[in-house]
Amino acid sequence: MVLLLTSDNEMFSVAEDVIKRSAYIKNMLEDVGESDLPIPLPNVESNVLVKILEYCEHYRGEPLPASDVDPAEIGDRSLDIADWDQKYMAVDQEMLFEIILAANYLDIKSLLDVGCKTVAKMMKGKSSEEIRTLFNIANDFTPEEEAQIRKENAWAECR
Amino acid sequence: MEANLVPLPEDEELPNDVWFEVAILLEPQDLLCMKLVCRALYSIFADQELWKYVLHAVCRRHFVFLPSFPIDDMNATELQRAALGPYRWGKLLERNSRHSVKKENLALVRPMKENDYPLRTTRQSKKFLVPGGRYLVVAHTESVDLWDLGPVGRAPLSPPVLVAREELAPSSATAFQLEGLEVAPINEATLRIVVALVGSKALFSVFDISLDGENPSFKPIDSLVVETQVDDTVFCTSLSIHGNRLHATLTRYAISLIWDFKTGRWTKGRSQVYNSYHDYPTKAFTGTAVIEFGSNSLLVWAVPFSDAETAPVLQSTIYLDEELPKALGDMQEITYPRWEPISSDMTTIRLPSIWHSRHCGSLIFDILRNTQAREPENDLSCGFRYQVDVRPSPLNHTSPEKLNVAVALLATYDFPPGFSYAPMLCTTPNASLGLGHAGASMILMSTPRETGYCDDFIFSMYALRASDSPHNEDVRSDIVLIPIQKTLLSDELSPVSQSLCSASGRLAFTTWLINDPVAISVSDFLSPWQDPS
Repeated sequence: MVLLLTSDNEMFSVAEDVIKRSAYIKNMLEDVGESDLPIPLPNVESNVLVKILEYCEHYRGEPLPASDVDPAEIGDRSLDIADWDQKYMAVDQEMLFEIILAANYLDIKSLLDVGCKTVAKMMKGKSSEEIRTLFNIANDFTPEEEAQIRKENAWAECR
Repeated sequence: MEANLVPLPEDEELPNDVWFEVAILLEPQDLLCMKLVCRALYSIFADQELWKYVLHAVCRRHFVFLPSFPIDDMNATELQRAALGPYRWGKLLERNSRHSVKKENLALVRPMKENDYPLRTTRQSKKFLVPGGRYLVVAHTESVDLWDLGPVGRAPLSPPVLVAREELAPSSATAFQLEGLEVAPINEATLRIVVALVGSKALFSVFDISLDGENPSFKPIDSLVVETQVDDTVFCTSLSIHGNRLHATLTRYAISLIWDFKTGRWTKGRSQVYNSYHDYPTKAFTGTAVIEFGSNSLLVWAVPFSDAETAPVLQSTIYLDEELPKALGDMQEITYPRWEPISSDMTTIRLPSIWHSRHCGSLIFDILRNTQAREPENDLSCGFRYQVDVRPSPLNHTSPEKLNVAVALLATYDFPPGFSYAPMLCTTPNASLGLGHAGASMILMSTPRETGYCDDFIFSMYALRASDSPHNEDVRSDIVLIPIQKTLLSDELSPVSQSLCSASGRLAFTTWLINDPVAISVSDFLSPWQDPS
């Protein structure tokens, strides 16, 4: 078992083969070896770690992704997300971004990919006004600045 | 949703590399909208480093050769405009797709800029415009040249710069004819080039050239001479390279030559297909399989040698018509899933360059069928676009002799009546065709059916574009043809023409006067991405 200490000082005891989906922890365990000391996760709160562990638990036993990425695969931008992953990601926006941050910090590539795809799906094909509504963002440009960006964009798009 | 609205992105501060990953999942035009949301998102989505990353991804996705863009030398707006190149090309075609493609009304998309380059070229020479539009490979019997035409979107280099030249065998000029040129990328910065010269024997030369360093030069990889019997005519068709392997079809027996120039092994096998319209059946090569295109079926052959086998002895001389039964492995025969019954027809199979199929794993090919009716208006010419996937069986990775083959009809399309069509070259993909990765444009030479001598040879380049109704049940309407260039050839002009085409809105082609030196014409269909200010 591996002990994890979250930023809000909660201790989690996790099976090693579950948490090894995190390349960060996996490397740390390999470097440090067996230890009774908890691994501090100062960037992860307990409610987020619960969610992360739910993901790792679900994929327990599945092969870990290869570390070297096939260059041909980088071009694949399909936004298809597996059913379970979609349900898993059906959380509020704050949690979604917390999951992405934690997946990035813990280096769980497959989860980071799903997170990025979820965000991209929300943004795809949307106008700037729709994005503002979706994420509750205020337009803080002056009219002149906005006109300038529109001009820049129009030029980038024209034949 | 409204209960947990989060102001973005200041509070969350997703690291830049996460935004990079999100950015390449979106279309470049989506990213332009993100710039307009707020200052914080502007600083992320107008960033030069982000757009470098996006342009890399666009190049990969559209199989554009990366060194075509001087990425480190481009500012953020240039990067944005370049990354939107396939989108702009697609929009250009979309705007023009309303034109009906009728014989009397060939509405054309005009290039914005045209240049003629007096590069040394002959009827014998062969050319390949590397996707991205910047580099042009020209092969002659004496040499192979790489020209830099200048990046698409910047002021053209005039004249073009000779990047590298490699002299071929000195005796080749008299003893050989140039029969084939094939170019494929082997990594992001390196091109692999094979030249086939044919005389009393066939000579294959393979070179690599890397364009990421200074003073690029051709690096000879290997060469192979295959001798033939004196009374047999040597041809070389279906030349292709895939990684370290080369395929070519030789002689009237349509023998497949497969050469692995990394291990120095080669093998031959006789064709099983004899297409009445083509003495030399078109073949495709995927590295582990040879696909032969018959009149109504295709045959897939597994390439027999794998790394586990002991190498066959390389023989310096083997007669080409020598029978080598079972030189190729297990065969699978597949009938095309849809084959329109047309009487009195001519079938032409056109493969997109291996440039694409190597990357995406799928081979996309077009079959054009011409039916010659008594009345020209009743002529029927249509194209069928198929995708074939040939992969080693998952249970048997080590031996490629067991293959899984899947064939799918992607689309069909009709040509205007009254013409015969001969496909000249398929081009690189662009964003406009959602049906497959490869070959969204096509060049055709069309000649009127009704006369034998006529000054109305029409040389057209067509763009294939998915129609607006992708869910239309009639798959035939999935693609519209958009003529984008036409050359009317008069008496002084030879109807023979070679042409090349590329993504990024640049086309290069040659047409020539009889007995006149040839110039290479380059047309740019998109305006520069360089900031006008």
